[in-house]
Amino acid sequence: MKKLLTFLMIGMIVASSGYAAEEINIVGSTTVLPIAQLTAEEFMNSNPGIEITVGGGGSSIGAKALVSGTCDIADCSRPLKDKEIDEALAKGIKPKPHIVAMDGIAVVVNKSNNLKEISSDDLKAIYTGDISNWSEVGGSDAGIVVVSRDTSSGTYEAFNELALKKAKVRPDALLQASNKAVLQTVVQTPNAIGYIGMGYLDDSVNALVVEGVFPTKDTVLTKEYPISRPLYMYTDGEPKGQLKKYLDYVKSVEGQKLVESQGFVGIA
Amino acid sequence: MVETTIAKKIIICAVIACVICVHMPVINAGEVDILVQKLVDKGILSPVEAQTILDETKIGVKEEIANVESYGSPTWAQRIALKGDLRTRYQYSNTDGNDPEVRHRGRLRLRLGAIAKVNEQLEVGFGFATGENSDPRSTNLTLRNDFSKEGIYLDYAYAKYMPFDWAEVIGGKMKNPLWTPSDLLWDSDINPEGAALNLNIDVNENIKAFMNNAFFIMDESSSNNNEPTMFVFQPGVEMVVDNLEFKTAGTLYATNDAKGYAQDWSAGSNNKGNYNWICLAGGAELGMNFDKEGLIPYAGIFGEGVLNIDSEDPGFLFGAKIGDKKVKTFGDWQLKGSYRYLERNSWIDSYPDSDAWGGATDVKGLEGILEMGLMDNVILSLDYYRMAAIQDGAKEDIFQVDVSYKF
Repeated sequence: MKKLLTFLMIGMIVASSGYAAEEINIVGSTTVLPIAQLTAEEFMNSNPGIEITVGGGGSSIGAKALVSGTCDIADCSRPLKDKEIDEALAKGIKPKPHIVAMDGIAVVVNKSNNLKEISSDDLKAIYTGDISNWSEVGGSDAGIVVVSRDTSSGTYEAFNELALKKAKVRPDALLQASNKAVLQTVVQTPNAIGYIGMGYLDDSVNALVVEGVFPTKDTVLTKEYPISRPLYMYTDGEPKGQLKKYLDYVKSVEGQKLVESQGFVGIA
Repeated sequence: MVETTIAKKIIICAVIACVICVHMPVINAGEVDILVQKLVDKGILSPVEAQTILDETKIGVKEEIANVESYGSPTWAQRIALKGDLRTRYQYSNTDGNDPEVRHRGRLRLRLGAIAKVNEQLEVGFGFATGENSDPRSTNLTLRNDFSKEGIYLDYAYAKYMPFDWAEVIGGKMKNPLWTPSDLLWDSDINPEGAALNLNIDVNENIKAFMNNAFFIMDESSSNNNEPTMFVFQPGVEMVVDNLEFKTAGTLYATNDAKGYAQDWSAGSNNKGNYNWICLAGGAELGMNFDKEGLIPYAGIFGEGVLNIDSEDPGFLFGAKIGDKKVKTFGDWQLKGSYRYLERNSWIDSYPDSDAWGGATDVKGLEGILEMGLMDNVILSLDYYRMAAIQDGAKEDIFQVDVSYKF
């Protein structure tokens, strides 16, 4: 009788757990955030038993969450740093990168600015403070207002590495906390220059040709555009079960259409 | 045709992986980059596939290196991490009052500690330090006595049990389990004895709550059954919002049988027979992180206060610091200044910073510290104390020049 009751109780527990929604927790880059939000929404619509929560915070926060085991997927707009990989491995977590999209970091100026293109050297010189007037790069005689991202941003880290070759941004640069804030500042400031993920590019600003290449789907996908980067979702080891199903969906033709609808470059 | 192409790519990736694994000790990242780029140029790999291979290779190589490192040392050594530091010091002190004195001293401190992993949830830590005697507040050796040999003492020895990510239980002679933003109440050399329970909860991405609880055995006597003990409860919260950091905690200290007890290392400034030690304390630190590469990467203010409920004597300290948050290497620097005021019976006179008026209470004064990194793990520190007794106004100036070598 006692055994029967035990079996019944175990059976009830197992049965009740079967009704609980499976959860996937995603944390990290604000650049990858719109991709994660949209794909999660669509995935949950067709898989009602799965609950996906999506949070931002930045690539560093995502990496920390992966290392501490508090998320299933870490969104990163840059590859994990050596230190982050070491910390993860030390805790028995093996980060597995999944490239879910490509992104070009567009260099943008105000609509009133007639400049159409810029060299990599001039771009670096503007951001490091060696050039501070538009006339020095073929523009009108006006001081350059430099807009950058805060140092915790993955977009900043990618721009700093790809465009500035890790040089220090001039100390008087206006630091903004998001792509939208950079866009807004450049729209409102006639002599401003900024950089944003391609997904945020619209007609309110002019995107510059960099080193003779305009940021387009093809030039970003081939990395011909010099400031292009992959966007990642990291998991702990090979994903399994619903986690694998979700990531397969993000990388599928259908998922990549959603990626492209957000202005990023699909990889499918 | 498509299947042939996929199979070809799989074979190429497998070959790359094998080459990297077999030649891992000699191959470098640059060579892998060139190899993969050539495959991209030939149209065999797409840029995205190439990037994936590079990212996975980097992680794989790091994993292999970690395994090789751990395989290369004995099992017992893999479980033990050693750390230590040597500090050399010149100290000038000028004390007035009843027994005026000017001293120039050369001093040094050596500490060596280890953390041994017993299992996934349990660790044992122990450390040894120099000292002229068993003074809990000093690990200094003064250079003296015709090059005599000097003593090494057990500095701490504890076991820490971590049943969950958010909880740890510590027993033994331990590093101070309480958080304090300054050394107003606790000299940093003190390693309390007893037990502690530390709880840490992540409220959300930005906020952490913690609760430090401790039971300290202050003394033991074969002739007295009423040995003094101390219970401590310290709830606190830590917040990080963008570049801003804030940490604060309130602390209740409640002693038992400590009234009138003559402690071994008392500085002699308390009226011990008159008061119980039921003290309320609070501390806070607010910091702002700026550009790490800028001139001033960090700036912060901090403060701490205490009130002995029985004597109603208060004490407080407030200060500020700018520079690097931590000084670790060449070019790092930090400037810190503080003012303290600690009335005679506000706190137990065995525990405050021993460099501030000999660690006594009934003290007020300023402290300024400039720390500079000379090279990796080598730090120069200039520390100046200008302290005075609150009641009789006697003064003491101390100037310390330290060079610390951490390993």
